[in-house]
Amino acid sequence: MNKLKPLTQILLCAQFLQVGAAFAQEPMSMSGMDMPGMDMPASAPDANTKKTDTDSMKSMDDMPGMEHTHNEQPPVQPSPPVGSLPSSDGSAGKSYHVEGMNMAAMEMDDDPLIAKFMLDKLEYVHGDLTDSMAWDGRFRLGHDLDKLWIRSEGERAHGSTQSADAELLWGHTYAAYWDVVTGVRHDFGNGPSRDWAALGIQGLAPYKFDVEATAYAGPAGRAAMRLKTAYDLLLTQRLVLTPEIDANLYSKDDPDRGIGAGLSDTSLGLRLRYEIRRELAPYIGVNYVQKYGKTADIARTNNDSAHDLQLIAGVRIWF
Amino acid sequence: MNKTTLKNRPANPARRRFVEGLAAGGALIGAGLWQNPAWALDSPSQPAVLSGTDFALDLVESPVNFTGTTCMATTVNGQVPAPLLRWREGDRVTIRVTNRMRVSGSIHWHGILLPSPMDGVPGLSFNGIAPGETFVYQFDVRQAGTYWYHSHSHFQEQTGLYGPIVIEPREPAPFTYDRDYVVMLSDWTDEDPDQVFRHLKQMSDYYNYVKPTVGDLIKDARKEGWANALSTRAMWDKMRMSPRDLSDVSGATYTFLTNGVTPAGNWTGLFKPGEKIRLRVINGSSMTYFDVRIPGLKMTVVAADGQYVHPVSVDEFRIGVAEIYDVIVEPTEDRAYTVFSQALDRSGYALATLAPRIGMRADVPELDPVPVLSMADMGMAMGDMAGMDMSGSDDMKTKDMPGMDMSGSAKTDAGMAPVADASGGDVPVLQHAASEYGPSNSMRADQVSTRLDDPGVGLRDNGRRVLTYADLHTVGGALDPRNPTREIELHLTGNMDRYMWSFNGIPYSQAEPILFHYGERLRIVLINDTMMHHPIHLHGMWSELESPDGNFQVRKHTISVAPGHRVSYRVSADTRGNWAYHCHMLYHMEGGMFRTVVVA
Repeated sequence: MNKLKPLTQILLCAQFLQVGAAFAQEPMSMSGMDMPGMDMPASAPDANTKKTDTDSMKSMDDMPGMEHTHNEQPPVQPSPPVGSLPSSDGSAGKSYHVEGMNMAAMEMDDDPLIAKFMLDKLEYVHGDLTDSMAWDGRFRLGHDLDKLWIRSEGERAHGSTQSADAELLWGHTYAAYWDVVTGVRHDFGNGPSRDWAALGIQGLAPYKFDVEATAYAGPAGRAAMRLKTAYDLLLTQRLVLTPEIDANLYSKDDPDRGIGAGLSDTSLGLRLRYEIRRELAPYIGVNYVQKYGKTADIARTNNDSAHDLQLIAGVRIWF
Repeated sequence: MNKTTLKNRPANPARRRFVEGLAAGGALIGAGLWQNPAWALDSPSQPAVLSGTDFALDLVESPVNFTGTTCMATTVNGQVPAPLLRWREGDRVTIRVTNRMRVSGSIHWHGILLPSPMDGVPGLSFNGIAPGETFVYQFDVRQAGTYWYHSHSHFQEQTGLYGPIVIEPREPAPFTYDRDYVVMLSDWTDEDPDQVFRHLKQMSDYYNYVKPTVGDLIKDARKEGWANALSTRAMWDKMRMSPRDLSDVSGATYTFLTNGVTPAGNWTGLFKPGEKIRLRVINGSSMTYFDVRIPGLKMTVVAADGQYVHPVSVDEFRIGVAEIYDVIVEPTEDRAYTVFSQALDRSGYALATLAPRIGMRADVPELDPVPVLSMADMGMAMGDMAGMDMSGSDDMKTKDMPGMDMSGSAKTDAGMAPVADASGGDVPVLQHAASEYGPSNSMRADQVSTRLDDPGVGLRDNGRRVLTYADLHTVGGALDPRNPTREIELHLTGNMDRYMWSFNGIPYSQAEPILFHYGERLRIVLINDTMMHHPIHLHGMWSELESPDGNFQVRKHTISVAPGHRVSYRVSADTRGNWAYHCHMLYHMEGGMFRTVVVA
């Protein structure tokens, strides 16, 4: 099973190489224009334009009454070039209502209330020591720029919920690709439950990485952070490979929940889904979970492993 | 691996039926009678033509079946498309429209000059037509040519409420023809359009099945090397954009129709060899640009958006949503010809046949390769293209990208003197409104092309003579010889990822009306900051497109603005009232790319 590890690394490396290649091209100068592919025969006659006159003349011969039309236009003053006239966006500075318009009657709504329930992961996890079921989903309800979010992830094994959390967040879009989210998180499952205040961002980073970064503050001075990023690589229009990295950090030990301070755990996932339709995509994949520091110690104390290579089968559903 | 080209005949029978539609599809009237409106203006037996000065139209919900699934359509008199209306220039027409649907409805007369209260936009020029009510439209017909009409209420245009208008001129046309056919192109979906819109809001690329894949990357790498292929891909990914973001709604849900007939149904126009046929091609679709050609026949374009143009002979033309071209074809052989209208994203096609006898068919061409947008299409300045080699895309070979000429020695031809040059070139975009920097807009062009002679993405250098706006010259010139005295500059904007659309980053719900001063001659400058085409339609007044040096070019009612382009046109504010001004992509309009204009 460990054979899969190098594969994961290679694929991740490929991603970074791609990013690196792009950075290498960053310096933008005209010297970059001297590319072989850019060298175009600008002097070559434009076949399209050259043909126009003769063609249209010929057609006009066939059409009585058209011979002199080119001379019909009255002489006009030369036109002022674009950009030379007083310019504005034309706004009247008055509302629709003032102008007697009834926008409700137009039955158009450019910012409708939209809901989306997305179960990104609903999967069976076969690990080194235990098998479990895991989920990771989110629900959004709202308008283009302001939404209610419910996010939840967790796992169940041996008939009980192991570690899980649910978040209730308000999201506001502050830039084209970015939302700021704020709200609460509730941890449940094994051990005592915990509550947090949450503040984070989520969106699409350059190079099309889906990113979620959230900071949490709890009672007794507890703080935590969670980072998630994923990338969709289209093998075909329906077969999509998604590498994914998750990481959790905590400021304080929480042995009752098996957590040590610092970087507690990371998870590297690679899932291959097939979109039967957009909303329904079964997948298989691998996931490598690594626990660090005290978190790893606690795991070992509990006869658990500090790392786990998991095989996954699941389904992605949204509606 | 490469799934970008749909085969003309998908192997899967269900998919084939979906793409090509039912042979006998269409509006279902009464007790199971199939009826296809077969418009042949100068040919016998035309069931769906209404002519005269008094018309009674019923808005009704009727069952239709284009794909094997029966759906409810919004129709006029139970027909999809709606009946062809024949008017005469100079007549006063009276049209009684009765709404027999359960929801409010309306009819807008697209491209027709009329008083604002007759324009048919609910909330703006009248209150809409409530269920059970009759609204009487009455106006003088002051123009001639080919136009169309459609609902301006919610998504009724998508569900079938559109039809052609032919206005006979008082003076004979400056060309002759023996046959006269309307070719009305449209896109049909079995989905509820509200659901289509919801899908786009939930996932903006929901209907896009031509996204770049690893297979495409490998193909590109073979052509141009891994370094180039990877850096091109990385550049698009860095921008969070896709060079295959061509159509929001595609053949994944659409079945494309010609005169309300599926490709399998094969609408046929008859001719005798040697006859001249006038085809009045109307794009009545909601979201689809079509590239139209008739293999084996030259098409002479004689009118654009209803207005005569100096004839120009082409092999192919791109027709934006709501645009209209009248063409003359002269088949001399005793054989069938295919009228092939492929969607811009090559996700499907509408099909019709011209034939000497019914039942004949000609070969159906393969769909062209899926176009790939270039950085120039994105309005990226040259500096951003450093290191990019897009030779993988066919578009790069074109000479229609003057900005690219700069790599060589100094050129004196097109492109270097962008403002004054008649053929245009690349110009920097000097400013963007502050509102364009908000979350509702994700792109701002650095540099745009003013050229009208660019055939457009996917048509450049395809070996065929493709119509461009540079070919179109309205007979008789501008209606109003005055020069414009001011400019209104608007940028076409959007956040594709969230499916938000707007002018200047402000969706219509947040915007204010635009004011035209009655009697003035003004210029509208449109800059397309997005990566999609937008057919912009001003109600009630002509849009007189200018050449890149600011002179009159062609009179239209709908002006298509390609990505990375700037266009300018003149408007005479000669009719008082409230008017709509919007992108004619239905879901772009609904998504906010809509403004109102007050002429006062």
